[in-house]
Amino acid sequence: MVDSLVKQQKIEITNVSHSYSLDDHDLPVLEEIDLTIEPNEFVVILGPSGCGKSTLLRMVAGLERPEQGSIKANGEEIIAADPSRIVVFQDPTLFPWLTVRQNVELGFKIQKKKDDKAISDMLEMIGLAGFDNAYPSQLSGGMAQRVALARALVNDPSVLILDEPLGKLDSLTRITMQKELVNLWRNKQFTGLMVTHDIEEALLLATRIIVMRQRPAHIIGEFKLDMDYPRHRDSEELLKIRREIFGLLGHKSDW
Amino acid sequence: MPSFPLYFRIPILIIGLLLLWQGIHLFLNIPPYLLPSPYSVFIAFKDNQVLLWNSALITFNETILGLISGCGLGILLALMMSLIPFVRQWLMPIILISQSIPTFALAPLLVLWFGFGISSKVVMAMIMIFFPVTSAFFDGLTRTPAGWIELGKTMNASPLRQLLYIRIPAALPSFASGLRIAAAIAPIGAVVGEWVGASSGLGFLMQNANNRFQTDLMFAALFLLSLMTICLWGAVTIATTKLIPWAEDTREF
Repeated sequence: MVDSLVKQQKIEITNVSHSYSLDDHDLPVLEEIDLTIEPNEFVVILGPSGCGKSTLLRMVAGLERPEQGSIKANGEEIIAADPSRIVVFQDPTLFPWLTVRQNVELGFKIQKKKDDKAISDMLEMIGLAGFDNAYPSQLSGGMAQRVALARALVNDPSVLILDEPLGKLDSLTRITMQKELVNLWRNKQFTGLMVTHDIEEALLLATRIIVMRQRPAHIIGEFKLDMDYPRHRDSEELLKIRREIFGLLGHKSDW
Repeated sequence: MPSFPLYFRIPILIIGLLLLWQGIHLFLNIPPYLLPSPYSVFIAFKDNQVLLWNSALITFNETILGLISGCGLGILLALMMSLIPFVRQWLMPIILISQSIPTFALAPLLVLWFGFGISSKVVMAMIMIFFPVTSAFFDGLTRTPAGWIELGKTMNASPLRQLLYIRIPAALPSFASGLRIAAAIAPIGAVVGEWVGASSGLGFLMQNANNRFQTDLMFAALFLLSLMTICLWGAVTIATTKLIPWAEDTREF
């Protein structure tokens, strides 16, 4: 329990390989992944859909165990899920029988905590003030995903794991949410670990981009981004990195 | 074709069917002990009002008690099966075997064990009811979307809290379907029990009327019974849709 109170977590992924067994053969999804994530980084893993990135995230969250290799948080093997590492999925997975406020409060309820102010502050911060009593079925996709973010962040995780959280939103909502994610990350002092297949998104959010290639997924490139936020999509530096990433993924730079 | 609302279609249907029935009766000249005319059923109803309503009240009580105890048993079994693997593995076959026995065949046995009074009928209804409730609720409990369960895990929810906060609410729409089926078959359970051995109730009344060729009285009792079943089903349906609004119902009646 004390572990989850430790705010900073250093995640060490060492030599992780994993495969799924299909009917007649094994399908390798991850191959020899080595990655260390320092506290307060915002690491974005970029790669084509279905290349095993999500599996890696689930392992960091403690929802799955790797076949080979180890994943450690502050030197301790991750063997189970923990409130200090919370996942936000592509689908908001809200509970339809609970209001917005009750959804955000659920983590507290389960852990027998009560802090009305923390809930109100979080709702305010994420732009949901006044929607306390709305039900998920009354929300738009962007609003629902905001609730999912609030539900995760109110537990004050040290690592926020984002599995293509904006993947299903329309492009305009997406741009707004990207800005908000950056603001949240800067205000709340958590480590961000996100998976996306959107280069723009990676460039705007990440302090470090890890490029993966698929089947089995392995790391083919790494970019450190030390520009200030908010970033401009068409800044020279970003365009340069963007070209390099396209090249790495096998697209010509003049495309 | 214009579409008419339910409250408009039902009276039209009932009046139409009654007219058709009366018409057939007039033209084919069927003896009343085979098929009474709607008019004579109405007269039988009027003449035996007190007896009919009193019998219906008894059957209604048995049905409600059966429904409550059957639901209680159904909920308990489903919860135990979903929480304890041992119970699931050993109880499921027993429940399945119990359902392979025709309930009608059990009725005389129940009368022997529980007597001619109300309890044998309540048990009969309970036996018929618990299965759809257990089956639907258990299904719902085992089919919680994986994302919700994982969310519970990351919030450190113990199995009991997972059940309480996530799996039970998630299973309520399935439970409601089971309950609606239960409400529709509960009166059958009570009447079957009465049919075999009773001194009162609609089933008892129908059997007596049948033996005495009072077919009109029999039809009047039948009419009351189906009215009761429809009302019960309607009440349960309305209650479940009110209490579980997130189980979106897109059916059109």
